[in-house]
Amino acid sequence: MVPEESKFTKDHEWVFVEDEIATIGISDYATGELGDIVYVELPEVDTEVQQLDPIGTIEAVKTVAELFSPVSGTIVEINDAIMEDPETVNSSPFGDGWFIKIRMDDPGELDALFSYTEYQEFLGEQAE
Amino acid sequence: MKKWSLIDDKAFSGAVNMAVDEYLLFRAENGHVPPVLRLYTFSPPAVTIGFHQDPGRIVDMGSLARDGIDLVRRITGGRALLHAGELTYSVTAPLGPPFFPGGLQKTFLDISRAIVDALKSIGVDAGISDGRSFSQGEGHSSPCLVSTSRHEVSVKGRKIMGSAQRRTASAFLQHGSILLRPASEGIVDYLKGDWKDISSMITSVEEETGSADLDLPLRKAMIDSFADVFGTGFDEMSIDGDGMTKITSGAKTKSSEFMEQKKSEGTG
Repeated sequence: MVPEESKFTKDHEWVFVEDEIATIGISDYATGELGDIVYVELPEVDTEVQQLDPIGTIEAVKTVAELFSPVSGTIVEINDAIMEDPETVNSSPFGDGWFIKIRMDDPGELDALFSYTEYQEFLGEQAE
Repeated sequence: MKKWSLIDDKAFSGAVNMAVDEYLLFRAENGHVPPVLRLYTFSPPAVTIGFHQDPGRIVDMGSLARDGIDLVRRITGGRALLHAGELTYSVTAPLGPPFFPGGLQKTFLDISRAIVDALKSIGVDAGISDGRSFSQGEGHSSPCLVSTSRHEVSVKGRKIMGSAQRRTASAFLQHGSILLRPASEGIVDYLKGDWKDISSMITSVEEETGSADLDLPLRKAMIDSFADVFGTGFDEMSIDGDGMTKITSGAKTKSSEFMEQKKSEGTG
């Protein structure tokens, strides 16, 4: 996954697309805000989701944050490893800490998401 | 800036209290409403556990049944907490401008600032923690009060409050308990495992001021300090009939979640 070539949501999720498969995770900004992640709850493979549907929760030491699907499609893979070792999300948010892979119904939905540069600007606005 | 809403509430069961906070989060997600500050207590006392905690692994159901203590799951993070001898607050609000434009940690910090100011005004020398952890209580099954996170409120390294948050796409709920009396250290009596005395790790308003009767002054101080820190005023809020229906239904579900488990282990 290459952050500069990914799309981002205002909820700090990233989407990296290869061959119509969208890999989804959360950004290093999100892991920094949450702190140590202790639990990840993900949906099952073959679940069909619409854009913005809830797809699970992440729990850090004090916070439960909901996850939303940035695109519509069918979940083709989940990262079992992060449910066993949630700290992987902290140590490698753009790498081994990915969450799910979705076969997209409509790649056009990506157009509504932030580019890497737009996401950096969004983070700057939040910090003001 | 538009005023916040205030619910200066009375004591309810754990199930009702958690259902009210969930309803206020639902309301914040589904409409253009101002933030709500709610102040409340628990009767009877209750143990609440974090959203993903497994009560069968961490809670001693027999002790709860013996002492008439409720058990309720929160939708927020964090660990087990005994709600007794304390004042609980909740803040529910839409995310983003104009009220909460910053991220999660900024929200924690601003709310902690208001609580520190409230505690200082009644004579408690509180400050905001740097997030160090205490040695006891490793793992997800430990009591909430044996570790401090970033931006939590403590007095000379001893915790006086536990807070937790839930964030959705468009709103958040943060609630937490401010210890008025030492009763909360009794949580160890209701957890499985060999927990030592945690009284040296936590403190209370009574311990810091020598007064056991500061519930009402703390409520007033909280209202004043939230108004100062967030530059707002308050309109008193009451929950409408539709809201009460949702709360009643939510509380019923919550109160039944652990009933069978408590009954079987409590008589075992």
